Amino acid sequence: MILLLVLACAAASAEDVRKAYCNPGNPPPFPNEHAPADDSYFEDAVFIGDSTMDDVEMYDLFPTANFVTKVGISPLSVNRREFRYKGSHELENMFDVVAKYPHRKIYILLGVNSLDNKNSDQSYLDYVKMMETFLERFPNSFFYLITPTALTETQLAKQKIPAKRFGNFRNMLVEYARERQCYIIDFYSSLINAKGCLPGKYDCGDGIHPNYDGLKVLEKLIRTHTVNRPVKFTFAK
Amino acid sequence: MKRLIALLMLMILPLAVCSFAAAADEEEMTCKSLAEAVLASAEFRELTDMTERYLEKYLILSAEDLQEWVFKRDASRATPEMILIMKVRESADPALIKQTAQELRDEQLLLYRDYQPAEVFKLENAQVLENGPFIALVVSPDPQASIAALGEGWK
Repeated sequence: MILLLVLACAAASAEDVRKAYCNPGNPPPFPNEHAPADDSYFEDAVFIGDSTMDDVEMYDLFPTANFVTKVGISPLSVNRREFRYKGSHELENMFDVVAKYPHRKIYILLGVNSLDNKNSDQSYLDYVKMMETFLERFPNSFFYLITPTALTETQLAKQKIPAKRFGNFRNMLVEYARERQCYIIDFYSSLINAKGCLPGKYDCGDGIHPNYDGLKVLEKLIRTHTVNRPVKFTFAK
Repeated sequence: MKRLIALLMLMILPLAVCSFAAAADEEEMTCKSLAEAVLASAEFRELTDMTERYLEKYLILSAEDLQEWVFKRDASRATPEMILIMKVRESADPALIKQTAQELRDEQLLLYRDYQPAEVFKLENAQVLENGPFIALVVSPDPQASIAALGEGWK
């Protein structure tokens, strides 16, 4: 009887775990690579993030997408009323603003502003907490989780942050994405050098933010790893 | 009669020349020409032209309120350098637009105090300036030179 109860609880828990919308023909977490998608794919995409994502918007790399960004934010910031829908003066939380845009695809680039003062485990827990709300609010959206880049070796030493913290966070995000059917855009692995740091050629000059060339790497990654909604076949009667 | 006509022509002609010269002077002063003068005044980092969408997002205004505008900034974010020059339409509220420029400057000052303290002097020396329909905010590596260049352009 007790065993049955435990099994029932486990089954209930498994069912309660929210999963993202995905295309079974392109199973998460890593989308198939293909020729770059054009801007039409991003007309119903929302890009969410911190200063790095704000830079993506500044350089107009995805002119048809909508952006909800703020310098300095972390996964804990998303509940704060700090974000604006375009043209509005009203401050709202991240989720309410995202809901106002076409949001069939949601791209998330967050984490650096946690990892600079918390270890990877704590940063990951914050991220998971944020994702619980995203998955609940947006059950029909593809989620693309962008793994954040590390800092330069100099900046990591200056802030006394071990490079492996970013690598650990990346690995945890991948496993989370696998479990929750989200897609991974592995920006971290595309940019870092053998030491797990942001190389100088991609450093904008502050040791933290990727420069234009680095963001072009991200653009190419995103455009060549898109997922389409499953095609539904209907049989003629 | 002929002498009267000739006299009238002599009186009207200088007035016509002056008005055309004035019109030509007004036409020379555009946001683009002012921005170019400011850019030439100091060694700015590479500045990227911001889109209309970005202008509206960060200044929380409608580009329709502006007759013309130039918004360039260091998109790398390593410095707060920027050139923002707007020509406000008569139908818009210049005080409101000036306030949004001031808020942008103040927000950047708060950010850079923690992020890049060595760059803060550029923001502390940046002022929102107004001349007729023009409103300008310049965050420059040489604030005095850039303000002087803007003043010259506005004359």
